[in-house]
Amino acid sequence: MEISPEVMKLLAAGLAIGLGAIGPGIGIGLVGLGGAQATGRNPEASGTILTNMILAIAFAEAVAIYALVVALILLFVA
Amino acid sequence: MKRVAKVLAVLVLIGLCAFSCVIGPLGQKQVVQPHIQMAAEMVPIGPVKVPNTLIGLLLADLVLIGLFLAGTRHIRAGRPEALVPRGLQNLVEAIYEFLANFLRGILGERAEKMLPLLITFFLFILVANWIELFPGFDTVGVIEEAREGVEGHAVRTVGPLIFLTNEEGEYTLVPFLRAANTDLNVPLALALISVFMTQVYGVQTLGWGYFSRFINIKALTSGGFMGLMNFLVGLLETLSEFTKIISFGFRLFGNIFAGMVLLLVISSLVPFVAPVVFYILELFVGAVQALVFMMLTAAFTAVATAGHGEHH
Repeated sequence: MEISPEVMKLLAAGLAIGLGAIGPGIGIGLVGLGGAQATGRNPEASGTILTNMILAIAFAEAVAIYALVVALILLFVA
Repeated sequence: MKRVAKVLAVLVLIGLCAFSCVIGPLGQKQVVQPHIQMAAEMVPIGPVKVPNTLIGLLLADLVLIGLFLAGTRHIRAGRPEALVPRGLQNLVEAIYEFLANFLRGILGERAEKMLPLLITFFLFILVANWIELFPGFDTVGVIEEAREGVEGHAVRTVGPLIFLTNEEGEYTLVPFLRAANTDLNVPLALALISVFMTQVYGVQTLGWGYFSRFINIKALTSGGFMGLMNFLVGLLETLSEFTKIISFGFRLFGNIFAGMVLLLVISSLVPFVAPVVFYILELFVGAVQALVFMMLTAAFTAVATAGHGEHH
């Protein structure tokens, strides 16, 4: 069966963001778990926990963004 | 007087809704599939062609500068009214105080020197992201003949207005306005400023010894296996400064560009009501990205200004 480059491009973009989002998804979930538990144990520290949590989420999310950029490049530039 | 203004605002909103309901079916039977491209579209203004993200950027600048000039006019004039803030000055002071206290919590005493840069980052990115959500962005522009490789549409004229239709043709829309951060150049420039200023603050606090973070000759000459390891860690630090630029730039660009694509696609699939949910999401994403950019810069500066020797 002949597969056109167009189809492969769409498939590759879908796979890139789909597979790339698995890891960061788990990671952000774990960060949220840790943050919620920490706030539950020590509600007074919630401000510090929130800032640290957002920082950690940003680092985990960066990986998903790389996948997203690859997908966008495949769709709109390549 | 206030009630009249409220009623007028509601009437204008209802009028806009009715206008969109009437003009939508007049313009086309179905909503047009948007053309999405990563590079900024070039808008012809007079004899020159200007990237539409530049116009979005200048608009964001204008809003910010205008707001803060108007908010601080009593302070700058040295009038006694400045001591009891009213109206806009309250807003401006509240924004500044909230952000400054937030940053003082992270950075401690070192915050004072970096506050202007960090708060400017936050406010600029926030306004540049949120400005995208105003109607007219990405949708109002000039109709041009489609370039090669771009899917063209037929046009339909209604009075003085021209609409794209979803039939095939040879025209495409070049929007006047587009959010600045959907052009990779802007986030990349912000990332370069952020990483460069981190080095500047590091040198200001620690002197030229700051660069021993990257090329640690002392560790190498003090000898031993651990000395060599410390030297190699320094090289890794050097590399991580460059990955910081990339990750700063692409994080902001990726989030905001994906938001733009999301809004365009949802608006073309379900033009009514459904996009509202995603507009709320984009409000959230825009604020979080501004916050993350500011906080990451603050965190990296905190690391850079912490003396290497202090921890031993």
